[in-house]
Amino acid sequence: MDLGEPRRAIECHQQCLDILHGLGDRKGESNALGNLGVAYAVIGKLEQGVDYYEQALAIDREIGDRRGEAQDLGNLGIAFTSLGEPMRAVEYHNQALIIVRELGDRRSEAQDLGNLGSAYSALGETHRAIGFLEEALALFSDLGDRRSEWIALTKLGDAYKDLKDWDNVRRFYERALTLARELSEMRGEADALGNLGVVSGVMGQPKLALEYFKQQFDAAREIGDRRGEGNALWNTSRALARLGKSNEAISEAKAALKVFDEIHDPSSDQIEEQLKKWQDQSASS
Amino acid sequence: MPSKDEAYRRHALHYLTVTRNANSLYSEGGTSFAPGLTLFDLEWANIQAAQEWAQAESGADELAANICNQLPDAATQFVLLRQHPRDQIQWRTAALQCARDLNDRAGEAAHLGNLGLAAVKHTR
Repeated sequence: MDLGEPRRAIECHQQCLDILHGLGDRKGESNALGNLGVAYAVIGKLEQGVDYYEQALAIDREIGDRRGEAQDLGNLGIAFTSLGEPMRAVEYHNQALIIVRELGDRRSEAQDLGNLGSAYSALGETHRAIGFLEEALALFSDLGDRRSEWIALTKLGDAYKDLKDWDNVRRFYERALTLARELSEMRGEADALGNLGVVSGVMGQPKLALEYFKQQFDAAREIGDRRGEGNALWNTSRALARLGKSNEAISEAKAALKVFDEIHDPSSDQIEEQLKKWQDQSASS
Repeated sequence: MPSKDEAYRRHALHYLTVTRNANSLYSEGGTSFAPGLTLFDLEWANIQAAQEWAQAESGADELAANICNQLPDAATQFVLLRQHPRDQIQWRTAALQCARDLNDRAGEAAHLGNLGLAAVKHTR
């Protein structure tokens, strides 16, 4: 049985739901509905995901399952942030937070705080987002949840990037890189290296930036992450252009373009445009 | 002296019990958490052997089918920690067939739900 895709997951959860409905197992039904929502969210069908989460929420409220209710509210919050409705997301996460604090469930509290941070980031309220993310980070650290800690560190780096507070951006991405390596999260490592390269470039350290992009490329290649490879090549190209190394920049941009074309990534258009500008400049000089 | 087949049956049944005990200790948390995990890690090779036997014999032996059906839930905490999603899918797929053969509807639902979760995890 090949289940290496979420569509098969949906089939499984749907069959599971049918059986549990037949058995009159309401809690099981609510779990299956929540799982269906997650599976739909994974394939990008967020509206359908929301529909399932709402059905799960209705059952959990009916049977008085507070933990389940908080979980459903949290799922709805995450979905609405992704749907571009962060204000609604904030409402759901706040409701979830009240419940998990009543229950003394610190892990869920940390998750809801982190998700509130994401929602406020999406709302453009970055300082507020950072406050929630810092709280989440401290809780994850207390709980020894290293993976969630790594995610919170990355989100904090992203938030400080919005504020152009480059010292803090570097500080958080460096910590995220260390944790990604500890956790053998190769994709996370590649992303952190790319982010650190960008920050180094902004902070006037182009050679260091190039070194990070080289490492980003190697990490992406090791895990077969073609998009990561393309990003690393494109980052390298731009850093070389800033150093005035036009020919090398053009060569790297062509390599990036080839990768993005192969995976039909929309970034191709932007690179093609920039490449044409550089080639025109190069011809006229 | 028991036959070789009987020895395998007793071995598998014993390790189903060991897995349940380790899982209970682990789930209690606090000071029981570490001994539960240690017990499971110590016996992991035997538990895997029990699952392999139960899966292979499940078509002909009802006890084997029951063990194959029950083992993934007995080891539920550990498989998440120690098993690759691909292997979780393999255990759960075998268990799903056994639950259907045994007409265990609740077991069937549990395996389907876990198969769905493992499939999403395998994709990410």
